[in-house]
Amino acid sequence: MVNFVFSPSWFYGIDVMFEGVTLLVSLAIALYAYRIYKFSEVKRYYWYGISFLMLAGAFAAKIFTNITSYYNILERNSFGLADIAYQAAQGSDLFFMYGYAAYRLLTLLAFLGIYLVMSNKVKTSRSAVFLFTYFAFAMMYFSKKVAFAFHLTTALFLFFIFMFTFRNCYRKTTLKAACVTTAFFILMISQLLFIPGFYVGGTAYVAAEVVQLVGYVSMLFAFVMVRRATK
Amino acid sequence: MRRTRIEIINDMLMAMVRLGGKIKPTHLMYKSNLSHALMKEYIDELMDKDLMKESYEKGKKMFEVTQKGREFTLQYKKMREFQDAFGL
Repeated sequence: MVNFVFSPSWFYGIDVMFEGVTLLVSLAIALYAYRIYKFSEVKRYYWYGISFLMLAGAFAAKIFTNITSYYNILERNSFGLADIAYQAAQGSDLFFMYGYAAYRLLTLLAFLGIYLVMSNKVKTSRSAVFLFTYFAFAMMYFSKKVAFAFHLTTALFLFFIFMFTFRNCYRKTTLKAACVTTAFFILMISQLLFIPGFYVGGTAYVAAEVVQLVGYVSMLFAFVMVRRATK
Repeated sequence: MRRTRIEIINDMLMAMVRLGGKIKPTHLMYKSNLSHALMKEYIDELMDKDLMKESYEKGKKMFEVTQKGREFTLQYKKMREFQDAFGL
């Protein structure tokens, strides 16, 4: 059986909780962006919401895959939805591969979407999205170093997103904009930390998870300030 | 930079809100920086959506923002806060 467990045993479940937080943050932003789209009918907010929804989906896939890895759900008889997965995927390593593939693909598409929205290129880049999705599939199917390629690509997207938010922060000079800029910068760093984390495991993976959580908490802080400012 | 439709609507409603909820038609035109023809288009739309209404004060026609219009301006403010924070 292929080993998909990257974290040390003492961290089992803690990373799932961390990713639960990031899932909730992504979902909250997705729902709020959609509400703004319904009010303003400006498509940019719709695509921004969809991107964060994909991010939430990515973390959901990772959480589910990690839970089944850590707690050997395939060998137990009852765990709610995982029981169905057990019956469908008994003895199959493909379940773990598909879980992580879904996490990686959705993450890449999410950050691509955020990048396109922020660069105002959503309308003109459908071909870019198609090509990118094709390359993402090809990379995941053919590449032996898929984790390295995935995290490097994600870090690159986050770098460009950080630059857009930095420019916005420079113009607006508000604490909220600074928190968002900081969040994307920290997330970029976390993706770079995941590279040694996946190959070395242990403390490196823990550090990457902690840094990622800090990034999303910073984003949550900005989001809460936005909500409070208008009450 | 060219204003979007929603920005123009907010500017018109805020012009009324800032003056206590009522405004003369000519003042609205100047405050919202619109031509007469364009203003009339937007007024028709805003009245259809019940965001503003006509009223009369001392025999003079006034435009008045409705409660729904005030809520619109709050929603717009929320949108701008989000837009400014997240750089959209």
